[in-house]
Amino acid sequence: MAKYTKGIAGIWLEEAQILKAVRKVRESGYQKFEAISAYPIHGMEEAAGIKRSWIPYVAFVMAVVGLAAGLGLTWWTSAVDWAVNVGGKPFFSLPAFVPIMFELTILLSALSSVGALFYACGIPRLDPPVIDPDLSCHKFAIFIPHNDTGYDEAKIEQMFKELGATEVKKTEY
Amino acid sequence: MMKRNPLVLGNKTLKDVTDDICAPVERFPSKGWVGMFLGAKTLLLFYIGILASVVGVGIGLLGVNSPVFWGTMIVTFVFWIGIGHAGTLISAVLFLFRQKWRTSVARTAEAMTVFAVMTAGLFPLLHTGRPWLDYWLFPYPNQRGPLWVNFRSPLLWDVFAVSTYATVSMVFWYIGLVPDFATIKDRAKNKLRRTVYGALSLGWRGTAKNWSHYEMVYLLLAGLSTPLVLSVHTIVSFDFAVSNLPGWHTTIFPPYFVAGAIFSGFAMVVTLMTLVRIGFPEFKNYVTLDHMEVMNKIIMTTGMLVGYAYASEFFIAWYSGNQYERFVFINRAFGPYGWSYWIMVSCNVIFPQLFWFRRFRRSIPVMFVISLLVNVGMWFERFVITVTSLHRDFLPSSWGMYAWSWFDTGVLVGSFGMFLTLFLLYLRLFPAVSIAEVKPVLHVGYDDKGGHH
Amino acid sequence: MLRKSNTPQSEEKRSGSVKKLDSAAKVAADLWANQGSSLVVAGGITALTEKSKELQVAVNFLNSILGNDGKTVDHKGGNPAHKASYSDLASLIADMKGGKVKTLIIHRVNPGFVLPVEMGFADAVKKVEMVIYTGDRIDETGVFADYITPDNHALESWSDMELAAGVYSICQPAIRPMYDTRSFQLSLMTWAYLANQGPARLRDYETFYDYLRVFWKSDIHPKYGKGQGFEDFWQSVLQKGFTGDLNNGSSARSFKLDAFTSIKPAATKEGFELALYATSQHGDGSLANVSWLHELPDPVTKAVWDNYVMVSLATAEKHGLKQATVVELTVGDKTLELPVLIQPGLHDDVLAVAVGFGRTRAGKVGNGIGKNAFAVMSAKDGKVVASGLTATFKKTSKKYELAITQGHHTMEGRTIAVEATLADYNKKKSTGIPHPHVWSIWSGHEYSGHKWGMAVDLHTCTGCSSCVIACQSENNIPVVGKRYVIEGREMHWLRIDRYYIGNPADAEAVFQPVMCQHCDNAPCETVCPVLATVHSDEGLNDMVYNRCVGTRYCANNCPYKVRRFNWFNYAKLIEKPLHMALNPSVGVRTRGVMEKCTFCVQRIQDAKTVARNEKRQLKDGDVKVACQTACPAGGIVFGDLNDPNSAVAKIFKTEERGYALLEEWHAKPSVRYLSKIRNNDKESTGDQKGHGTAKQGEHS
Repeated sequence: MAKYTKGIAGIWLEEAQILKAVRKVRESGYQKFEAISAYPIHGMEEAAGIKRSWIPYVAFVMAVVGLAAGLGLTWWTSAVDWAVNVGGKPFFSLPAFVPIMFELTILLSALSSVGALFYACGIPRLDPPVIDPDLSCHKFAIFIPHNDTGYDEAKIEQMFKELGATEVKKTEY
Repeated sequence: MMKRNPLVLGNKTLKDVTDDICAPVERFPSKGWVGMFLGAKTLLLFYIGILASVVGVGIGLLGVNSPVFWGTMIVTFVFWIGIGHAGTLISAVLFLFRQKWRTSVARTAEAMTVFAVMTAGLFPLLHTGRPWLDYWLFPYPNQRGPLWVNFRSPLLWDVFAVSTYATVSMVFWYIGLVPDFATIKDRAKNKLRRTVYGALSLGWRGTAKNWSHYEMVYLLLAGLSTPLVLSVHTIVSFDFAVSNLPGWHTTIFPPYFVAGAIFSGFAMVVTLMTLVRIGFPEFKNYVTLDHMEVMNKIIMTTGMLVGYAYASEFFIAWYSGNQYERFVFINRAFGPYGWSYWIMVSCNVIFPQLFWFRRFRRSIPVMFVISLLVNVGMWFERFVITVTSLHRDFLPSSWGMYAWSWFDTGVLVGSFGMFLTLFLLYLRLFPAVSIAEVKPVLHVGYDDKGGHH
Repeated sequence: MLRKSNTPQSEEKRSGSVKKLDSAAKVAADLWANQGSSLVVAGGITALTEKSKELQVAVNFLNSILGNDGKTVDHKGGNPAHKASYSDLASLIADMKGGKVKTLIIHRVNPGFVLPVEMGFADAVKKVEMVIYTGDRIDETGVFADYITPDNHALESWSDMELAAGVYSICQPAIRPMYDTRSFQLSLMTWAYLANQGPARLRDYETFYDYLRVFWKSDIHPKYGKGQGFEDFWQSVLQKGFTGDLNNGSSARSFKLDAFTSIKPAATKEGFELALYATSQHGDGSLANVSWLHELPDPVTKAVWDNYVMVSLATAEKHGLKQATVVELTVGDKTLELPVLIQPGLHDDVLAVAVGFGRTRAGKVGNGIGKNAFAVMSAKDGKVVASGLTATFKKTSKKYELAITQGHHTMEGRTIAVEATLADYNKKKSTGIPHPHVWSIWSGHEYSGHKWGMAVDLHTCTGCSSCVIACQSENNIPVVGKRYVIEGREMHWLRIDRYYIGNPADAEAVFQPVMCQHCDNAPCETVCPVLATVHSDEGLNDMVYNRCVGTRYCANNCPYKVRRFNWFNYAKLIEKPLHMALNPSVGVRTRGVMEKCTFCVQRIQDAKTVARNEKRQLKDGDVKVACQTACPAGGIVFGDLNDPNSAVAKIFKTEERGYALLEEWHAKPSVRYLSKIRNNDKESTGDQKGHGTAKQGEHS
């Protein structure tokens, strides 16, 4: 059973509103807040101060690993462990091994990127918290956990309402 | 900024989008769907019977012989793999080129890819003489030496390429589906649906940080899938190009096959989308006539690339002065299989020229017929390449004809049963348009905000 | 047999630069230039015309004036057992008809099948009181027998024979009798013993072996075994195979010129003439139940599992006949329904049909294949005429399909089977031999041990196809039957390609045996995903049956198309006793596995084992592959290319007629072909391109 954090959430109906709200929340000094939407919003990363994802590094490193694995596999099996005269060709037929190396590069890079995504997002997880089922449809939300700096329920509720939230509720996330 | 037509018609709100696209998943199937599904299922069962006979009795049930050692199974394999490539192109390549119109067709196109690759994947396994030993093509550590495989063989490259392609396409498609599964889970009324779609959605929450990583991985997968799709059909073309038969051994095959794959894949997308729009009329607002028109333009462009490839092959065969090469091409057009050659040319080069006319590009009956003819032509293109090059090669004493049997017909027709069964099931169980990708482009064409994604 | 001259049209079709010589005059000039070392021969069923006696007289005359008699013709030699004639048989049948024959023993002949209906054997035999038949089945003659006393197979019995006058041989059994049979000689001895009749020596011995030894001791040993004890003599004959006088010291005879007075010129006939012929594989059809023979492609037509009526190209065109059109052939008052096979080079007035087909009681395999052409021979007053009879035909609307193994019958201007005229060869030995410029982007592998290679001489190859049967026998190659041959699935590892050369109406043929070329740059090896076919360090292309998954890419990539695939489980069809025909040194392949010529690797391994046991090196001649052993003309030479003394290494190095098939392709095959040299007066035609494109007779 996952542990949910208590906190307060505001719900908006317009994309433009939530962008403005997120900016304001960040300016107000909150750092552990979450912005929830049904689709990726353009400009959200900037507004929320989210740094560029680190997953490309994983993809690159694993691509190199894939390339090396492809080269190692083909070279070792064909020129070292079981060197057989095939069509008069050299044992280490590098041009012929390129497709294998290429495919393994792509495979390891792609799968590792997805693996990194799962790690970064904490999925798969059973029983994810849901503030409002319509958040995956047409509503947007900002959630501020109770352990965030300067947490003040009344102040936050006030701020949310000023920013145009249609609903503010105490909830877990 | 250029004024463009709306990508989503009907002034839809975010809620409308969710309701429209989830509707087929949430309601009971119509008579039309049930009828088509029963038909596809029957064809699939027939197909399983044919394949079981071939595996149980012998490859000799098909028309393969000496000298035509490869036949309908390989032709149909390349046919289906080629179709699959359009889905990846729409998902990945058009994403990299920032083509917003891809959003409503990407999901179904990628589904078509996955099912086409699954359908195609059976053929390399079952066309072998001893399919129960196919696992020997994988370089796994073993105690028989150990025995390894021949990495110089294009068939081995195929193993890696098609496996990678199947895996990455499946993963890419699935990653795209995860947020939509969360949507369906949140809307689910009964506990079973909520559990199943909940499991499928992996517990996706949709926070901004999640979306940030998600978009990065989507970009990475798109960036990786692009060279992948080019390399996979290149490697499939190497099955022919790396051999030394006149008619097979030519460097034009990689780009020619890739262009042909995109050509037939888009034609299949147009065929399927036409049917989906008829079966789910609410989708007409998402997959508009503009979308269809753009795809028809791509069909025409790639068709002309393919036509150019045919012409250049002929020219190079003549220019090379090689008597075997020259003979193969003359034999293709005027030999005993000339009829298949002319079907290929008329379906691939001549009929798509109708798309020069805007009226035809935007006419549903015309585009449906042409898309079907394109796929007929593309099947015949692989038939022409495989069979005519094999049946008359270097030593005239070995010349022969393919001994077509009704098992060949069964394999070809039955494969459609497998594909359609999977596709029809998909239409009922998965949202056929990518909800999370359409929502960001909801306003394109309505106001000045139609900027970048 | 001398041909009638060519039809005028064919002469016009020859290229203008070729001088037209009357072929008969040229042959005469060549013969005259080689007096005493030439030979004129006539005979066989195709020469059994109304004028066959006159033909034989003419041949004797030619040999006589050429001084061949006594030099290349030995009238004292010849097999003394071959003395009977059709007229002897006719008088026997007359006796049978007249009830004068009480007991008839029929041994090693099948008169119920091979005699023309007109001879009346079937009616006459019914009047014989007791008919005994020693055949091994109730065949076309067996149905008339009162008793069938099956003889052993020749390989199951002791026997002896006089091969030529004064040359004797002993036949040894190679296997115990497999079934409940008894050798004919032993049967005679048993009947004599039981009836207490006949010469004493028939009754004095338990077995024929004892009788045989006594006979040889008393009759043969004194003449040819002097200086040796009988046991030593007996052993030496068993080992050597024969004894006796090879040189009888023949002398020339003089020709009686009055033989000519009885020869009248033949009447010219209108219309078609029937020519019967015996194929090299079937002969008189006595082995019709052997599937190997039916699946063996006819050396010239490449047709299998059928006989047919051959017509020339002009006849086919004139009468609107297509390949496999079914016609009703009428000879006298008898008809045969046969499919047509269009044969380039056949005389326009000839309709040719092979005998030995149409058996009705040969067995499961042989029954009902083709039509019996023996039946249409004529037999008037004891004179049997097989060929030259007037024949007509009528088209029917029946559909038929002929199974022809070869897909196309001309080389289409490609350099495949190289030939040159004798005149050109004398000027330059390597006339016509291609010398393409080839290069490699890598250095290749070294072969420091044995390196097996083969040379095939197109000049000596007559297309007889003994090598094909030897290979089938040695390597357990299955038979697939007519339907699958039509579908292109025959399994022979070694095939003989026959290409027609020149003007289709007057075509010549060249034969080229093609087997796996064991290429050093084998295209098949590169594309096999599971390494089921790899190159050994002795230069062999190894085929590993148990690793083969059956993707068949190797066969696609082979430019020589020598690979064969097991489309079905042919091995399962082997039922007793056919399993005894399998070679235990070679495996049997299952469904889904590729196979091809292995250069008889089992024989190579056996020879190496023997040499290792004898603690010596392999020497040239230790390894003889099956096709090489069977070739009666010595056209196939196999051996170690790395042994400078081997015959094949010398051929590769020095024979200027040698070339590799598709050499420019640079597969580096281990097989070389030696070009064919034709002794005709055609002027040099330079390269092979531009020869006629014979479309008729084409299968695909």
